[in-house]
Amino acid sequence: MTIELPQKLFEKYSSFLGKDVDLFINHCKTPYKAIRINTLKIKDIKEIECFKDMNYEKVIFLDNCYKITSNVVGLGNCAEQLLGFFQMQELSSMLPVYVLDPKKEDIILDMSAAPGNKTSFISEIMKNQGLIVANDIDANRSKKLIYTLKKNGVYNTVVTCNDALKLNFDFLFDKVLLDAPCSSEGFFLKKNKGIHTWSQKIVLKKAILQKKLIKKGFDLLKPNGVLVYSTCTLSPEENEEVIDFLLKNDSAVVEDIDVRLNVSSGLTSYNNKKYDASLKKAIRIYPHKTNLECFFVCKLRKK
Amino acid sequence: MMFMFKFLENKKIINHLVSRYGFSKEYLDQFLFLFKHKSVFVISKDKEEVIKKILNKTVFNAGIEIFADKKHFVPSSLGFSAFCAKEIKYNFVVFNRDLVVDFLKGKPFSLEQVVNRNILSKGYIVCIYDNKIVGTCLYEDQLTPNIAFTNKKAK
Repeated sequence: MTIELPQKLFEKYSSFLGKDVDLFINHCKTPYKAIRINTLKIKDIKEIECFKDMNYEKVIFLDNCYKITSNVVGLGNCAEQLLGFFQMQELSSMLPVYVLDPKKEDIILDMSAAPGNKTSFISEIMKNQGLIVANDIDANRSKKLIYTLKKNGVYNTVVTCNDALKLNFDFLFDKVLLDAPCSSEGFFLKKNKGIHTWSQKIVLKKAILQKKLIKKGFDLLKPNGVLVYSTCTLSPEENEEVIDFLLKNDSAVVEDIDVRLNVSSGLTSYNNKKYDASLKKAIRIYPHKTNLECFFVCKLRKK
Repeated sequence: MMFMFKFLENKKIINHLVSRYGFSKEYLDQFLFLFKHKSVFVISKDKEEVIKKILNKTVFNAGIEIFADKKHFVPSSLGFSAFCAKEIKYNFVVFNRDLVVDFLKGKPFSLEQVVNRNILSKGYIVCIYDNKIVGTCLYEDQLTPNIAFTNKKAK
C-alpha cells in the first residue's frame, strides 16, 4: 500500500532526499518485527521456546537483537515476552542506547523514558549496576514504564514523574539520553496511519520544547559527559536545528557515531539556513538505505 | 496519597528470604532495601550515596518491588523474577512451559502437575521454569498464581 504524504511534508522530504523521495516512501513500512533478548534473564535466543519454529536473523549492528522474518501474529502474548525474556522493539529505537554506550559505573538520566524499552536496554548493558534515573512527565506512561522495568528484571533504576524541564538534582550525570517528544513522523510512516495529522505547526511547536529539553539535559550533565539526542522524526527543525541551537549556546561538541549501517549524515543546511558543520557527524536513518524505521541520532559531549 | 520511599531496617526481610526460600546473605548483600507504604523494594547498592540524595525528593518508583505487603510477606511475582533461581533452595515448584502459560492466565493447578518441587510448608512459593524464576504462587490446597495482571491470551 502506498503512503500518501501531506504535500508540504512531501516537499520537505524532497528538499533533502531529492530523487530518492519515492524510494524512501515505499520503504517506510518495515516488513518484519524486531526483538531484543533480555540478557538480564536469557543468554541466547535458542533458550526461548516460542522462537523454535520461527525464522529469524541476527542483526549485525546490535548485539542480541533479531529480525523475526516469519509471519507471526500475537508475539506480544508469548509467555516468554510476558516474562521479560525478550522485548519487542524497533531496531532504530535501540540505536540511541548503543550510541550512549552505557557503562556499569555510570549514573544515567533518561529524560523522557516511557514506555521504558530504552531504559531497560540501558540497564541490561549496565548489568543492573550503576544507576539510571528514568523520568517521564505523564503518570500513566510512568506506570507503563515501571511495568516494563519490573517485567525485565531491572533494579538499578529510580523512576521520577516530573516535567523534565523542572528536574533538579544535587548531583550531575555521566550520561543523558534525550529521546525527545517529537512529531513522530517515523512512527506514522511505519504504521501508515495518522500521517495526515502532520502539520508544520506541530513540528515548530515540538522544536521549541526540544530546544528547552536539550538545554536542560545538558545542564544536568557532568563536564566531559555525553548526551545523546534522538527523535523518530526527520524534520530538520526538530533535529539539526535543535543541536545547532545547543552548539551556539553551550560548550558542546558533536562526536562521531560509529555504526555498521548505511546511515546518512546530518544536514548542515536546510531551507536557506546554515547549521554548524559538525552536524554532519549526526546520523539520519532512512528506511530505503537501512531497511529500518526513520530516526535521527546525535552524540554530544560537554567540554 | 503519595508515600515516600524510605530505607528499611532489612534484618527481618533478609531473615525471611533466607529462612523461607534459602537465599544466601552474600547474594542479598548486593541490594539496598527500601519501603514505600506496605511494599518492599530492592535497588542495586552501587550508588548508595546518590540514591539517598534522590530519595529526599518525591520519586515514583525505586528499584523493583519484591513484596507487596511487608507485614505478611506477600511477594511480588514480577519482582521475584529478577532474582537468580539458583538462590532458591526450598519452597519452590518447577514448571513446564504449559504450566507457565496457565500460570500467566491465572489458572490454579494442583501440586501433581508440576515437574519438580521442594515445599517445606504452605504459603507463598517460588515458581521456576528453565532455571529462571517466573513468579510466585500461593500454596494452600492447590497452587494459585500470585500475579497482579493475568493475560488470558498467553500462549
